Amino acid sequence: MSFHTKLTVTILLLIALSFGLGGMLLIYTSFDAVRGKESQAALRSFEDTRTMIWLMYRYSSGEGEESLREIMRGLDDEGYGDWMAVSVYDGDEVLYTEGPAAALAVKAEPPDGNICTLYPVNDEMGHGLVLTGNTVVEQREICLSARYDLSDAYEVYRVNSRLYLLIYAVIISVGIAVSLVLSSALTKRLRYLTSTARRISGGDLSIRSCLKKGDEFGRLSADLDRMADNLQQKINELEDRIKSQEAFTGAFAHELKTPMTSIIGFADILRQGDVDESTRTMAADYIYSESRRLERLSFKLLDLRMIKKDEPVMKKTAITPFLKDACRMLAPVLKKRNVELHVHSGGGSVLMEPDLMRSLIYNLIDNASKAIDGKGRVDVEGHVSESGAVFTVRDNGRGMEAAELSHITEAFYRTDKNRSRSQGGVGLGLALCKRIAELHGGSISFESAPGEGTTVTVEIKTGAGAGGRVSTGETAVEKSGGPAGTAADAAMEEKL
Amino acid sequence: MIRILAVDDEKPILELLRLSLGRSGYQCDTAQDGAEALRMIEQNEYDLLLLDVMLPGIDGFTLMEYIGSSGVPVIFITAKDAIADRVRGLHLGAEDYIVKPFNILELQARVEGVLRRHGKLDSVIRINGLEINTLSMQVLRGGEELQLTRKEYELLLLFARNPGIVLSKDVIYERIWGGEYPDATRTVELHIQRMKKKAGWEDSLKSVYGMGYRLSRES
Repeated sequence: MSFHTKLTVTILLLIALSFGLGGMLLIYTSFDAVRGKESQAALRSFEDTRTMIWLMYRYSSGEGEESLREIMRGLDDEGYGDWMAVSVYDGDEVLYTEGPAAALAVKAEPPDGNICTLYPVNDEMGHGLVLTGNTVVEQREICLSARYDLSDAYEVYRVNSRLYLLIYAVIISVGIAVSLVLSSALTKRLRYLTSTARRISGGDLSIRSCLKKGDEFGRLSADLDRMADNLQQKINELEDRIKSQEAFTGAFAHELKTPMTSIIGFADILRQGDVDESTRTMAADYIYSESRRLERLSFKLLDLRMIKKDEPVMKKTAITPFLKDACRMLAPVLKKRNVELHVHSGGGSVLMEPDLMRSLIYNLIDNASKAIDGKGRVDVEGHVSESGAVFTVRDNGRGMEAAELSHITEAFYRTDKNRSRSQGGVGLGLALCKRIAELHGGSISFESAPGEGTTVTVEIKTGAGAGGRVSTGETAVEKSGGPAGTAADAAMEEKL
Repeated sequence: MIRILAVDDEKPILELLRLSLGRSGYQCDTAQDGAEALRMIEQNEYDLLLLDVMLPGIDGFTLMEYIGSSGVPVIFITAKDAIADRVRGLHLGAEDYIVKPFNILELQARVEGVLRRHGKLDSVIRINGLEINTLSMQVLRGGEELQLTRKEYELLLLFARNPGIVLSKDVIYERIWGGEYPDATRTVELHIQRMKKKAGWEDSLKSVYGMGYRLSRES
């Protein structure tokens, strides 16, 4: 059963019950009051008559039927309602009687003593009240019995009841309409929320219910919207991931197929024969260089895959020798490129995977030196931080536009394709660096402006545990640096 | 002379296109990006464009939309062989597409096909004493028509269009019969023998040991 129906039925039941019980109670109470009043009047009139009978037998000389009739007439003259029948007995002897004898058939035994009893009766002559009372006078027990007719009161009650039934029917019909409208109004927001939820579950994630806050529906709406927000965010993340994966696959296919096309094509030309010397040389050169390109690509790709697979084994590594080592490998290349390399180390040691981090620093320095036209310098810096270590690689080369910065860690993205290729780049270096930084719980960030060089900052977060050991590392540097002083002073600079 | 503009951001590919199309007798200019391509299209008149989809700056599709109205036929060269990309290229009005890595012969054939459809090629090829009319599919030697089967005609045409180039048996099989070259078959040899005799090419069409066959142009 739907909530709407439940609500309708509940409201209807409430209306039916309250109006039914209330109306019935009201009618009955008013009837009861009327009946009570009539009974009281009848009793008073009866008592007066009894007193008259007592007086008559006590003082009046004129005994007999005639006097009784006089008195009985007085009963009627009082004007209280209708007396249907009246009888006066002396023992079994009937002194006076009027009206149908059947009306008094239910007459009970006269009570003992000078009291009066009331019997409500309901027979074919209608509703009535039989009053019986004894009057003891001069050793005689005179019994007066009379029936008072209450039919009118009952008739009014019956008519009122029927009238109320009619009114009740009208109330119920109005009640049905009211409860339908009311429950519809109450469940309107619920229906709206339901349809919203259905549309969201149907895939339209941009839909929000946005009900005003305040009541339960508002809170439900807010919760629903929050759920949709989260869902949309998750879906977007997934879609982004798929998109970047697709982009990677597409770019990879391009990177793979382009050199392959050249190799196959030039090889084909050589194979067909009939080529002059210069064409042969050119074809062979291209086959060689494009094969080398494929080779580099496959190695870099292998690196990338390997990082993605294995959990790195972190080792406590001293920063100074680590940086020296990383730079030593590149020194000859940089010398050839006419680039100065300066290393600054804050000393200390940090938890990291030294091979991966060396590859990262190597890549960054390589990139930095490639960004330099002619003479220039690259500064490499490393120091421990609260949560790990921070490395920066700064060059005074060409720099990049802000728009390019967001793309450079994408696989196969190159700021300058032709230059990059001639320098042996395959476009995976920074994607690799980013991955390595992430493996160390850290991040890589870039700061650059065209013509002003680029600063790459790598922050690794391998835990504060390394920070504890850092201080010992610093003292070690201080010791080696002599009594001269602080860690900053002890920071070594090596020119390669 | 037929002029073709090849647009690709890869220098090796451009050199390859220039070389192989040059050997087919076309003049091939090259451009390394969209902007350069546009400049060259405005300055010169080309009979055909070879367009790489992934170009720096203006990409191939955008370039295609720009030059679509000029009526120059376009063949796409793409490393993506996703159906959606191919369909998009064809929808934009490209005549054909070639997926990297491509075979030189395939490239030459597709270029020729597009040029032929646009009526930019002579329908008559004269080589080694034969006159081949590619429209009426007739081969004349000294005004006399040769009686060739369909396969023989196609074989003859393949060599006539690629003089001086070694055609391996599997390439020939692929082009004439279609599909993979079955190892244990002498179909190609037999057909070449018969065609050679009919065409009178016994001296110019030679087998190159271990490689295939080559038709040398007679002076």
